[in-house]
Amino acid sequence: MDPQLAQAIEIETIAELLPELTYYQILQVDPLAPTDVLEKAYRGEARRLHPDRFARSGNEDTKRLANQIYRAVMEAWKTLKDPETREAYNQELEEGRRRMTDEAKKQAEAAAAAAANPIHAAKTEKGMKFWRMALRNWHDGEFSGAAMNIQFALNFEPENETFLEWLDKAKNAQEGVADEKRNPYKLRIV
Amino acid sequence: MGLAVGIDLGTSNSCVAVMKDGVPVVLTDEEGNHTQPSVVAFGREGNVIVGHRARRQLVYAPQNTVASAKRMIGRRHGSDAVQRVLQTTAYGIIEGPNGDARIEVGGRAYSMPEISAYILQHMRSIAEKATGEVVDQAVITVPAYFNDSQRQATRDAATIAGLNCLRILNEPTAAALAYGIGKGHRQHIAIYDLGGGTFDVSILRIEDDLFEVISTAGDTFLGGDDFDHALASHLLEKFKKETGIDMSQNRTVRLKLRTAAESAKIALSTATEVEINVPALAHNADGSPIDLNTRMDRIEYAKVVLPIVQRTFLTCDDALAQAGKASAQMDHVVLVGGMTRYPLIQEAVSQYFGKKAYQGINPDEVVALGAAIQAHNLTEASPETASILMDVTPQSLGVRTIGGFCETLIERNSGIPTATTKIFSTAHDNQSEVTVAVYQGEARMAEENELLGQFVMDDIRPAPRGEIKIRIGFEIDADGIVKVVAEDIESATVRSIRIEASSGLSEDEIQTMRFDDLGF
Repeated sequence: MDPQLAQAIEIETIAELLPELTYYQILQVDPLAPTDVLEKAYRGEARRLHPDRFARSGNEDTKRLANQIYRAVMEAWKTLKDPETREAYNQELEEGRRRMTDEAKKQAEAAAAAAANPIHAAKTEKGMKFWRMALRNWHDGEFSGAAMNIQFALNFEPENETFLEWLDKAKNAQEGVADEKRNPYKLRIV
Repeated sequence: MGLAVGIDLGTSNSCVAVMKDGVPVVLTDEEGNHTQPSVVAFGREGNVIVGHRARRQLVYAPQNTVASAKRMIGRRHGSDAVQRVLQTTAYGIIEGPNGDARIEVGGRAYSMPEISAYILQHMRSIAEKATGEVVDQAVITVPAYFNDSQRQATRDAATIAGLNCLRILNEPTAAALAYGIGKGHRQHIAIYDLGGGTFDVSILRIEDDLFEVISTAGDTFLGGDDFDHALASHLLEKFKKETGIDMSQNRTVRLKLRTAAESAKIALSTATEVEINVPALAHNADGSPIDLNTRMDRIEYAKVVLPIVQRTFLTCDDALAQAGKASAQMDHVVLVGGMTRYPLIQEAVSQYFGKKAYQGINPDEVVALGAAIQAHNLTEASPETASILMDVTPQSLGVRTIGGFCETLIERNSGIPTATTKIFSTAHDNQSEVTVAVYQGEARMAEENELLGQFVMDDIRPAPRGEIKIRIGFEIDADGIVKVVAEDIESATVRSIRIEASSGLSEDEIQTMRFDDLGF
């Protein structure tokens, strides 16, 4: 069969099934598959179904449907790549929903974002100011500066768990650096 | 169909390239120039000159010569961007009928897409002369951080120039494609793109032929021009200190100093110290001229521009945080844009990422080369060999909600194309219309973000509040351009709305501006 025609038929078939498919089925993976398997599957599907592949297809329907499937692939991966949103989705599946409701999606995503990017941990403006400086210090390997700035940030948000957790991390890292400095074989910086 | 080319439509310079025998090549003009100044000059008889000749006119007829139109494209007349450009131009900038900024030259007002269209047309004619073929399709690059209005305006420019715009492509992504780094390996790369007027940083993951942008961040107010501006201000201050004369309000003086600042910047890329001489910057009471004579070394220059360089790294911090990566996790750091030719920038970037920043391809040409590859991918390459680009939207898309807050619908760095829907309902009894204001940006308050446009769903049947539901679909296409579809759930009427940005041109305007029959 003409490969273009075969492709068009495949696209049409998937598009028709799309509302019935779970995210796992869209990516063609086992629901228990680990994240790296999912990631590989996602990249394979994204590469295969990317709208640019159909840029020269004269068939507007194929283009539109491929676009739709591609977006579903992206959505599936976006939901499943993070353990928190994946867990929330599995919950939805158990309750018989193949797609997450907007509300559930939003909540899970916000939680995942906060976990992935510590910058969102600050709740007050002043806390944020010192928190940012602390993360910058951390990034530069200046752990004592980081610890100090987290202390300042804690003045504004004494209960912030992320701050407390990172304060420990910074202190530990600081000790690590101090140990390194004690190493007699290390060059002294003048 | 004619030939498809890649065009880098830059703030200061533009470049055109095409795929030839599987390799992208830059197309040169008859004098062998690889790039063209993005300058449009209007002659007395209404003739239009673009490129090197126009750039020469900038010196003696600045009031008829337009540079840096890209800084104003897709911006409202009242915006900071336009007001800042206004400070440094010799021509008038007026408000267009849609609130956009228009340039007034020789008694006629030109929209920004028209100015850009002249440049595109010039690049097209260079490509046609160089290849001997008809060129009617192009991939056109824009800064990754460009918003919807700016992208839309750029696409409009292509339409006016009679070019079929195959894709609006992000500049850093184009550069990554040109480097083709990582073919066969899985790698993470950072693209540091500092051009004449904009700064972008993109973090990509590349595996085989799949180029995946993970995050992008940028500043459309930061570029080489700002370096010159900073030095010019510094020189003004110095002059004032030495002579007691304040020339900061004089346009001609500012222009002279900008030129001197640019020359000094260029000289300092090879020399360690330069002499800056500007004759007759001011005059004594008796009419005798006072010159500016000063020396500057690399260290002093670095001090003057340090705040600007540091701003780029704050943006890098942001992009890395968004990608969930540390600077040390980058396998390669690639330098793009004319400004990265300077040792000052190369050293600072290498230091930031803790590894030598890479610059194998001419930073002025790499973006056009990448655009040419993508143009080939979209027109001729067989689907099996074409590399696939997965890009992201640089800014969050949201709508204004009660209290003036901005509710995000599509988050920044979401892969494109993408789409989402939201259901709106009426807030009052018998409400007859629903207005939806669409914004782009990260601020919590809608007003602090860029208003892309608003639209009204009217003719709503009278009903108690909350009873009427309208589903609105938001779509961002592969060009990063937003499309909105509204559907009255009850009556199942669907309306497609192109967001006409408050700074945009209407379809009719674009059609009347088209060059096709002008014999340009």
